[in-house]
Amino acid sequence: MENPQKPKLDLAQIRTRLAEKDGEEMWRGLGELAETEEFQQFLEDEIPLVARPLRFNMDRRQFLILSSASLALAGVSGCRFLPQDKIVPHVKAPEDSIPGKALYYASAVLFGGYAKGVLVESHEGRPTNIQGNPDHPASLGSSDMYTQAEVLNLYDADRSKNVQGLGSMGSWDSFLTAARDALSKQKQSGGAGIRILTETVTSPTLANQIQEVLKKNPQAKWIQYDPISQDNVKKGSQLAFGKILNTIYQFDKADRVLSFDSDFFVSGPASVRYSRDFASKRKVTKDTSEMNRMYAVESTPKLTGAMAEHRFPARASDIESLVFAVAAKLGVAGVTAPSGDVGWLDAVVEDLKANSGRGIVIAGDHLSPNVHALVHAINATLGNAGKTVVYTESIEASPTIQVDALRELVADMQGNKVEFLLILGANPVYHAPADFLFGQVLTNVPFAVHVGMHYDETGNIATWHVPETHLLESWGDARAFDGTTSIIQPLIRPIYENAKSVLEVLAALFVRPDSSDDIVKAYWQKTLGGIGFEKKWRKALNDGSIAGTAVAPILPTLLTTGFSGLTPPQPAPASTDNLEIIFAPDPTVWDGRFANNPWLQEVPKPMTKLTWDNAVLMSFATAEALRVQNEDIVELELGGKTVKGPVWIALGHPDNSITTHLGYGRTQGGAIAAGGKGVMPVNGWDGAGFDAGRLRTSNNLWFTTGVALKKVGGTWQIATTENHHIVENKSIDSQFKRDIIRVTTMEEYKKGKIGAPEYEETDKTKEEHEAKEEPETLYPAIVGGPEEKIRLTPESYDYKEFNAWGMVIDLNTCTGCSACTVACNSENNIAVVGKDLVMRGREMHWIRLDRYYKGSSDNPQTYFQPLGCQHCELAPCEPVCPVAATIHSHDGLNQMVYNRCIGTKYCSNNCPYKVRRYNFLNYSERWEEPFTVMTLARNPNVTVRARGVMEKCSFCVQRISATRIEAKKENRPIGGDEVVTACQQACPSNAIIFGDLNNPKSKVAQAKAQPQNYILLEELNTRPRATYLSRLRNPNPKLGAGKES
Amino acid sequence: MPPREKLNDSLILGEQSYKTINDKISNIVLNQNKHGIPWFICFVVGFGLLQLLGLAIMWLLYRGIGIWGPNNPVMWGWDIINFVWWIGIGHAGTLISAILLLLKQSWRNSINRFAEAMTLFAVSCAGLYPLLHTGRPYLGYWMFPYPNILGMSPQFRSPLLWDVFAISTYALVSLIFWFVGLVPDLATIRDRSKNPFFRYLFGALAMGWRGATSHWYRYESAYIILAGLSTPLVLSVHSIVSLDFAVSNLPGWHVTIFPPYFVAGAVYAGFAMVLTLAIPVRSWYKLKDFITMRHIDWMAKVMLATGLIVFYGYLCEAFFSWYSGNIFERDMLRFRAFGPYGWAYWSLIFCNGVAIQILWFPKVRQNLVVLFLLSQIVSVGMWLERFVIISVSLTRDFLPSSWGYYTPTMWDIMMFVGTIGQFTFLMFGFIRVLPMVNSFEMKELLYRLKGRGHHGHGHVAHATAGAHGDDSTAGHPAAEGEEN
Repeated sequence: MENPQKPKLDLAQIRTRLAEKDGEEMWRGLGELAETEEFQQFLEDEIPLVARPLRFNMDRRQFLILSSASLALAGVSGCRFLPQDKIVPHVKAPEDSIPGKALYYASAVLFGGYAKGVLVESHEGRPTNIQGNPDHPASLGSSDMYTQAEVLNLYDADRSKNVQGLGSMGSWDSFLTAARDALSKQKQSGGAGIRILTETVTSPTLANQIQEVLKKNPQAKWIQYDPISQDNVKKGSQLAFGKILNTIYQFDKADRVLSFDSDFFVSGPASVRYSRDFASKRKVTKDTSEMNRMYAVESTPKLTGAMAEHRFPARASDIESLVFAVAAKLGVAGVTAPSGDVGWLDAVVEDLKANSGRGIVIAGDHLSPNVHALVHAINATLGNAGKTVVYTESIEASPTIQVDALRELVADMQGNKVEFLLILGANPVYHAPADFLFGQVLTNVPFAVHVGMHYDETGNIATWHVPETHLLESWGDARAFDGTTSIIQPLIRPIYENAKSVLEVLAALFVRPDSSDDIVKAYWQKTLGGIGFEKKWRKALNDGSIAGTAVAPILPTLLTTGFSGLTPPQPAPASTDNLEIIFAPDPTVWDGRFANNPWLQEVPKPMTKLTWDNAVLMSFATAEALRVQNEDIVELELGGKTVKGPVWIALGHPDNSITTHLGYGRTQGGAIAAGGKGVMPVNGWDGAGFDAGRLRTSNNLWFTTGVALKKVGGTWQIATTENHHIVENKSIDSQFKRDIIRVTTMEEYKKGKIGAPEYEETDKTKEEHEAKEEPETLYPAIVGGPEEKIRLTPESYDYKEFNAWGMVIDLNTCTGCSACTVACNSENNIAVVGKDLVMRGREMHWIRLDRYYKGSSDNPQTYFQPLGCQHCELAPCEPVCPVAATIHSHDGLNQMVYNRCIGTKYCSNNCPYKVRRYNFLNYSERWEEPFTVMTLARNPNVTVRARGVMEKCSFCVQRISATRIEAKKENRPIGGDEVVTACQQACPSNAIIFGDLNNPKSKVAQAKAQPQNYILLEELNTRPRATYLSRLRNPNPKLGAGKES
Repeated sequence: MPPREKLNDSLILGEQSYKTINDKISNIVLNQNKHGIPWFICFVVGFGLLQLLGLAIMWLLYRGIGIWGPNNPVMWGWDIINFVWWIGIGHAGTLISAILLLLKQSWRNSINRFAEAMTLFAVSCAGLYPLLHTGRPYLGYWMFPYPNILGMSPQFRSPLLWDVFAISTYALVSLIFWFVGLVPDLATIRDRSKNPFFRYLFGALAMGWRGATSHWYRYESAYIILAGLSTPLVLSVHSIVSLDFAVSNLPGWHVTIFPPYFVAGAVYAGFAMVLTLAIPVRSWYKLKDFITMRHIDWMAKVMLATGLIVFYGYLCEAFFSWYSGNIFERDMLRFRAFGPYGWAYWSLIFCNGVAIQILWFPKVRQNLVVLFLLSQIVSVGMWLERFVIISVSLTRDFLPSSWGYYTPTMWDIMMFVGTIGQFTFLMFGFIRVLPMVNSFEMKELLYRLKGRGHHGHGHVAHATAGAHGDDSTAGHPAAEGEEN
């Protein structure tokens, strides 16, 4: 009997569709393949699993047809990742491809639309690791945590895999047909209904492509919007110079820095370069003992303030008047000083003046346009402009005030003027200002296309969603902070073959379908000229940047008219009734784009040490005044909108102000990102924070006052890696008695003091000491002295015969940015354990950033200490292992033999540094799902550890071995600085130095010769190979020793 | 002396003959109807909890030790705490059987058998932990020095390896010692049994014992040699267990006083467990004539004495932490007493330092209810001691950045409760199938109390404190012969 409700399945159609699918893709049933109406209906159905048995009303014939078809076709669907190519050995091996040997390709990763040059490591066609490109000005070989984690974004299992139309499975062809249909209707009106929404674009090719579209469709509009935009910076530039200019700071030339709430170490397109330049002014040796000095005004505790000599907490809304005061003190024309006086101002201004031309005043991107304009004027007045502060034309392809552009777009959408909206890479439904109600107005658009890596909040609402390729999968280009242009080259075919790059989508819609390779190459062929192009192109690909693309600095004239009308804002009354709320990008997941990246979720946020969550940050005093504690759930109300989040006390936060980080509380876009479903269950575990963006409106994008905070009862447990559940405010600096972080001032350093705890020897105690007879003892007279060495070192082995690997970590340049932790994750296949296990203290990071406070709880000094295995020569872990699974190598490495380890855990108990990490559960291999796409990100040269095995930092022994093999092949000794560990390579501030201690010329040997070199917990006589250089402070003598304020 | 008078000043009470002793002790095994409801309850509860242990171990092997509570600073939690606790409990048995034998203390005779059994069962519980707490228990044999193609030997500097040898030796010697001591009594049961199954079973276990003089001669020699072997073990096992901690460099572990103080603590905990078992069992099985108030009194005294040594150990630890002037040691002491685990420390001081002081009063030593409760307090106190030393010390050591907190999980608790089940199950199984009081030694004691050469029946034997042990070399009264 024919079932009247059900059209017959067309087997021929199924076969052709299967042929198209290339066997790689999973399909859920024959209906999906046939794309029957019924299946579409099924997908739309709210409760499909309930609906299905009711609907499938099949008779015997159909059943037989179906079962025979499934039997016949079941084998067609193969493995998800392996292309269905025939496996034959290479008759002719591909050039440069030697199995087991990694290849490196120059490319670039994007941050806020800007390029950071990278070298991507590829093993047999599989990118596994991203490091900085030494030849690229934004990297100089270093990188940051976002760059490091980008490789995991490629292998994100939750990436969008299919074209989806109206919520059901579509195909690229059906999309193109539908889209061209929709576009053809726009022809008469000159594209009046067409809008293209992108994030910030610096890519010359993409910009060119969009301009061509706009040329063809003169009424169409292009909107750029980034939630963490530089609108205020641009407006400030317009105020000061009359146009949008790009500012480049040259910290390597600056002796004095005044930061107004800037986060230049970790955010912004040049952060890596700035960290490097800044650190170069803090490399203090006994010969060159000069160092820069930084003042930081801060509304949220940031790394800048932790590094600064003097840190002044101030509410974000009060900073503007401080800038006015500084400007007025310096005599910037037309600026009136605000009433009231700030104690530290005179000394700072005086210091800046004394170092004119050698200072930098920098303001955070979120501060008002007036602040930025004034800072330009201040830098000009101080003579810094043109010296330490350099201006260029804007790098962006089409600089706009993004929020205004978006506002216009939303108005058009509301007015039903937008008929064809192309959203390229952005996720405005999640991150557009809440008052725009983007998700609602998006439904007004009859044909909205979302091109993105995830089927996220926007993809969910848009009429069509097209999966986007990762930047390691497609061609592209982008410009760095100084204009240097890089070609982004793919290292792998798109893992999900339906994915298209933005360039390809645009080309297919408006020109003709084309691969990204041809598009990018064609553009540059036109730009660079045909003669010798191939050579230039090759060189650009090899170098990672196109020579001569950096823009030349200009010296703009300040428009004094811009300031004449400016008056300092009236200070808002500060009380707990009038709280200030600050919206800031999250230190690890940024605006939410990295929310599905487990490395970035689990790496502790540098200042707060939180993982997997955001929180309502506030000062100790404010928390006391509001009668809330850590983890208490509070409700924030602003402009009629509410959001609930847990409290976390951030020492050093200004009072009567709270900070909320954006990027959490996602509802779509991956299992990790949307773990919390945007709703916080009380005492539940499946958290992914709360969405502070729901309070963020277009007029108050960064901070505003008047937020109401109310305790709603209940707690939300937060996973923090530091002092789990311990808040000991009273003994905030008791650890300094333990001599863990050594701090000294430059003044004392020059006198020879290096921060060691002082032992006061009076004449009397000295006499007593000398008069005492040495008692008979088994212990050596001097711990670590030569006498003891003979006694304690087995067979008096002195490691002189081979290399002696050692490390020095310079606490004076370490900013605490945690790039090393993520780099180590990537290099050493370190497992991610998840929030609940972090809460139980089982995080696996081999190198951690310990954070210590000193001083008062309202404005403490913050210190960071990267800590991996110390590689003790007399390692306490070694004698206690019953099976000799941790032993010493000939070159002094404390090695962990995973295969021998039975997991008694005694080594960790006996490790005074607690750097050993244990595989309590089976973290790396899931029995249920042994082959996940994420395993492709693993480094093949590092063992994946099994359950029940101890692990720890190995000083990147695989890199040492690789270098040794190369050196042996060339029959030469290994160079002193030849081996570079992953953390060292990533470190933007050159704080980690690694090398051969036996080579006196090596950087590490020279660093160890510095007077400020010290051993952590030296009295335990573990004799670590890793040592530290004291943190130095260079306080302004007029402001005290940097201990107050 | 008033206390002495009030006490039942005797080691055997009632109208006793060799026959009555035989009857009372052997009939517990021979007459299976004697086991009433208390036995049934204990056995069934023990058996039930044993199933829980099985479940806990299966899940542990499947999922890994991540199901337990340990975390990064605190790598050892309930696993090692319970290991040390069980090992400690075992000590009283060996002390009673070996050291008291060598010291010719006749009062050990009635309690040594089940104290030894207790030792074995406690060690069997303890022995589970060192293996299961490793991440890869299937590789546990790597701890033994055996010839292998890896060319690897164990790492002999590790105290964990010393543990392996100390505990396996201890378990083995205890088992042999216990079994050798059982042989004459097994023969008695074999001879008295009318049930053919028992005759075969005990016949096989008695290993052809006929009570010949040559048998007794060899028995005595073997037994005294084994006692000599066991004696150092009493001291060595817990000393070595304590070295697991003392060898490390962790504040709170790195304490040189640990070996003697751990041994004292073990004996202390062991006697508490003997009392916990003896007090109900002597009443259920009507053994009050053999395990008299005198025995109870002496055990309480031993408990008091060892408890005071343990308390002295706490004081020493605290004093030297302060006296060292070392900030890590001093802070360790401060955190222990006033940190987040202060409750554990002060409960421990109460249990092991304050509560036992009531044992100074003779009245308390005769009050079985109070003694029973006090034994529980001591067991809890000794558990807390291990908790404070092992886990609490680990929570806060050198670098404040890695300080943590430790809480056990359901599986930690299940595993512990499961071992208690195993212990109870084995103990009550033992009571049912083997003579829990050493009947031939009791007969020997009776013989000596009645005076050499007297062969009367039905005499009340009055022992005095000094009456025992004047000549243990005297010939045995050939108890078996008399009965048959």
